[in-house]
Amino acid sequence: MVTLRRTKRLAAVATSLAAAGLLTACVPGTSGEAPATTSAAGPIATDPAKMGKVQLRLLDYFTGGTDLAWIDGVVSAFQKKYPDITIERTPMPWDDVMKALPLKLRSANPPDIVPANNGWQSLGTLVQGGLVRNLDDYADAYGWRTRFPASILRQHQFSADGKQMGTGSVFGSPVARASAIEVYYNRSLLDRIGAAVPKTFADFETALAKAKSAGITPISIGNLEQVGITGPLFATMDALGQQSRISDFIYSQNAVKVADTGFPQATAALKQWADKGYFTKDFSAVPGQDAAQAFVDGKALFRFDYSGSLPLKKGQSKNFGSFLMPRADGGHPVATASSATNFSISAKSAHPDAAAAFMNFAASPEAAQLAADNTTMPLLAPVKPAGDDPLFADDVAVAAQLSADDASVPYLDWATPTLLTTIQTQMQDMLAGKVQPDAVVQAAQADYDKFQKTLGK
Amino acid sequence: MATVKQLPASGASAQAAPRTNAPSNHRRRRRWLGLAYLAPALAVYGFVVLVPAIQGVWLSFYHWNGITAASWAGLANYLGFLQDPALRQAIEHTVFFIVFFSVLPITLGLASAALTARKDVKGAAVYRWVIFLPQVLTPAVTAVMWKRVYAPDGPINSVLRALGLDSLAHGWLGDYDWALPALGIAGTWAAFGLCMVLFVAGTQAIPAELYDAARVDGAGPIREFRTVTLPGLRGQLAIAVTLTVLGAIRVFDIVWLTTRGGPGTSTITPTVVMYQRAFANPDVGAASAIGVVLALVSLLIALVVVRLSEDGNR
Repeated sequence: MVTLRRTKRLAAVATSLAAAGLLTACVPGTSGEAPATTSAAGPIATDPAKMGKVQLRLLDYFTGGTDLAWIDGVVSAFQKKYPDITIERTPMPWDDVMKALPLKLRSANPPDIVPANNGWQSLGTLVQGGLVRNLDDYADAYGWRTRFPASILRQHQFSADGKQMGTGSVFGSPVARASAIEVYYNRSLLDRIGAAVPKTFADFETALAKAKSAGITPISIGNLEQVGITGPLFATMDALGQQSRISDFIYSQNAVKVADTGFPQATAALKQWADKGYFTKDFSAVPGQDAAQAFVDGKALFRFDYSGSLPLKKGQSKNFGSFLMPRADGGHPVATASSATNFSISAKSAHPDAAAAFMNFAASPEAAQLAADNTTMPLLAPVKPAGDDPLFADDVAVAAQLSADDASVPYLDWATPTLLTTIQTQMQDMLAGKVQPDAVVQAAQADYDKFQKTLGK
Repeated sequence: MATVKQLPASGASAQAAPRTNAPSNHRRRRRWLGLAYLAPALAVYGFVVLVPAIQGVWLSFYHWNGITAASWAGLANYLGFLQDPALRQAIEHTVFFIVFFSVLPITLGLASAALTARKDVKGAAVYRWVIFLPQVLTPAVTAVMWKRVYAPDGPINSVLRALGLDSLAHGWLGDYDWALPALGIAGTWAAFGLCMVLFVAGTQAIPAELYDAARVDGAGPIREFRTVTLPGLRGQLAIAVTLTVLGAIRVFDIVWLTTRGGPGTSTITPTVVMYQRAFANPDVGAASAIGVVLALVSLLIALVVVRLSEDGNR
């Protein structure tokens, strides 16, 4: 009796599983629309005043601080200019956006404008899946190809088949808000060791040694959560490698290996600095936020960080400045930098004209000025820094320099969806002396090769 | 159990027994009423748990990045499970965590139950409340707290330095040898209170006569524990083992919020790998396969524990 009942129950479960299987018996990922990798047919409009009443939905990750103030400023300025267009913002934390974006874009009614991250982990895959609109028509109409520095525009380009990044059609646009990996310094500590702002890579290393012998922590790093080392690594790579090689590697052009990008030199340099005690004591066990706070509290000379990420309170910035890591070969500095967000239009959006008009506005000189007014780093247009905040003046100068020299390189981890995890894990092993710097380079190359294969190369 | 057996399996068998028509109808109505009461909960459960679970199983047979068309993978995602060095390491860590999340708290819980249950300890309720507190806290809060505790300038190192034991001070969570046990101890701390409260409650339900009888027979405290307390706690033990072992298998929050599996991969767990595959490095099929295996292992453990505890009751 017992066995019989159990069999029946099993049979029932099996039947319902099979039924569910049949119900969902479609291949995941094929229920969406046909890929929209070519421009939608039909004329486009570029005058927002003639688009009628439109309600746009905007997903972004600006949830607080100067970022929030900037996007709020941009949205209200745009709505004031074009009262017929209203914009409904949905801000979500970065991690949540990245997790939810594919699902949202596949839903029947996705937001019109979305902040896909650049690179293969996000935008590249969305392009392959046909979930974001090809923006070539708007790029031509608004002159984005000439207005934006090539190194910034490239970050939004993919080939029509979605297999090549950094070239071809435009699938996103930058905003007039920059984010770069900069070196922040403590003015009074720099004075105390009798050094000036480093103009050469050798100057930088000398300052590290001087700080160390003066009993000052040269570089504030907290790598407990594995993320603290990427900033220093990318900036050092930019200083020791070549801009074109780094870009080519990330965009998989000209068969550049990771060993040609300055990456091996950078890993070796970081290992050397760590061994010399140039990093926060026990940096592998220090939470990232603690390291940032320690720097703000005046406990270290330098800190590598993304623009505007220091936990500064009002009035605290007077004692700090920022610069781009000087290059070892004396050329103009190169920085891992991009627009603070990358806006794309959902392939299913019913209002691409209005969405593109807003994106164009978010990348305009007016939006850059709004960035400056809110003391957040501008991009794409020269602006005058507001107030007399010396740190912000440095940031604005850095942004202007980057634009003028067209000297930004993409983030290394855009090259494959798994590269960031690979590098972070390997760097921890290397800094702890578990593996040699060569092993990090080999692991990164293996990760890269594996992904290139999936692209059919 | 007896009532269940008497219930007709289907309408057909009810008709085949017309003499019992009236009570059967009555029972049938009761059954439908019961189902009707259950329906809202069942619908929610089906929608929130069963459907995604079946989808998860389905996805685990595909290679899918979450966006573009998936390709059939067959059992590749499951075979990858066996070959992936990160996962193998993660499984080793799970075994390690079972010691800290389950064996240790249960042992400590039993000890404290044995020590306090038969005597009145002044302020026992306060102790219990304090020791149970971790169960009430959100895992995110405890993770942040332990991060602070283990920090290079945190309380543990301060105490060591104050005692002149500077050489023992560590960056605990950044150390390849110490990070795993450090997180394990945090887990022991979190699970201990639950075990203790379960066991103390259990011992209070054991008839005092049994203890008296044992004492009359000349049993010492250890023998008393083995012959009276432990058998009397069988049910609570089953619950404690199930909850804590499953907790060890599913451990995620405290690892992700402190070390993210590092340094290197020295604290990586299956759930961390699953999260990375699902969200950071889109490989939804592989993530689903990990989820399915974890669910099956958890189910198996729960079944074994229930079976063992039931056997003892017969």
